[in-house]
Amino acid sequence: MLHPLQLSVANDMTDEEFRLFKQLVYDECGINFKPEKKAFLQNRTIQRMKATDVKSYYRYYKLITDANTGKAELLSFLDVLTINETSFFRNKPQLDLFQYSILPEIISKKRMKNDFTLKIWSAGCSTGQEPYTIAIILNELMTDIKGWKVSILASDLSMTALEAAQQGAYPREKMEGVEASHLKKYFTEKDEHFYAKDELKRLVIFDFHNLMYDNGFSNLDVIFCRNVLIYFDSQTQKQVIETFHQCLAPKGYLFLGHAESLQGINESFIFIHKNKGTAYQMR
Amino acid sequence: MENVLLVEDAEELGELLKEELGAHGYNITWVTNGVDAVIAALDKKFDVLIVDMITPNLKGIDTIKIIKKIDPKIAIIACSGMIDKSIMIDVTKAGASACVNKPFTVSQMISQIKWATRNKGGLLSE
Repeated sequence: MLHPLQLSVANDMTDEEFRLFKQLVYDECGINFKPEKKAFLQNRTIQRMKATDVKSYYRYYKLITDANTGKAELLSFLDVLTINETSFFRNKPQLDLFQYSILPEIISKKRMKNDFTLKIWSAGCSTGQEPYTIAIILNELMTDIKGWKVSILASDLSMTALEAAQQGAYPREKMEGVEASHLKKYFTEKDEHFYAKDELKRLVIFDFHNLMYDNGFSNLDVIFCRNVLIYFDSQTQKQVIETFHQCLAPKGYLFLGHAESLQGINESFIFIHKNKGTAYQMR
Repeated sequence: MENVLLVEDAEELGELLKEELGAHGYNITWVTNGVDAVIAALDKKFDVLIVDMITPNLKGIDTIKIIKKIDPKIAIIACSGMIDKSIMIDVTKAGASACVNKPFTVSQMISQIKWATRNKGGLLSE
């Protein structure tokens, strides 16, 4: 006979169970689940418990913390916790600032220096809409893009999201925000889906990356990390921004989500604000 | 003889207690963290839980609360290097029958096991 606690898949997470998983998630990837996010954590944990046929929170915890056999499932667990909603051309005023002010400035300075490399990092790229949006903007703005070495480095903690991003196939309803002319120019339509064309895909390099750790990137021109910091506590935010600081080229740019700010986190950046678009530039 | 679940992350002390208490006829299941203790308690019936208050993943107090929920009749002994009044109150409220300050001798622990099994419901159960 099963003990009631063994049937706890259907049960609400107790406070002890919540604390246990919250600490594990924090230790693994720095995401800080506040008590009001308990239902979210619980539902996503149950989703993985069902997938692995484990019937108690404690057994599932043991499964994912097993140093020898737990790694793959731990990744799947972090995966379901971190997959984020995103969209093409999200936060248009900010992208306008990027397209019409920041990018032309970066490009003209580089041309003058005979430097034809451009490196942009989309940190927390989820299912790829942000890096492909950046690729569209670059293609539109840089008529001589073929003469440049452009890399859009796109990273995420979720392997499922990265696989979808790499595939670059989106149902019609996800294409909202993409102008009709861009849709035609940069996507192939087939079976109610839009597939990113090679001229976008060749610019983007997708890779798994945990923002808690170093990545070896350096001399980046721009970093987009939008709506990711909100999941971290202030200590981890500081650590992540310091990593960005190390990765950026002098006078490099950082784009954060509209609810995120560097105030009290890092003094090495200047706040830029233009027509409702915001960004940070290294001093 | 009683089945004892021992939660102790200090390897030397865990091994020593397992051996010495075993020699006195107790069946010892030794685990090194709170989650393993909860899983052991789900799988098997124990008469006594000896739990260090500072162990990896679950805190001792949480381990006590959860295992008490699994088996309200289990006798619980809380151990710590620094049991002060507030810890004592907390663990007693959670259902512990005895608190033991570290370091302790094996014979002291055996006395506590005997005491705890006579007061299984915890000190507040009367």
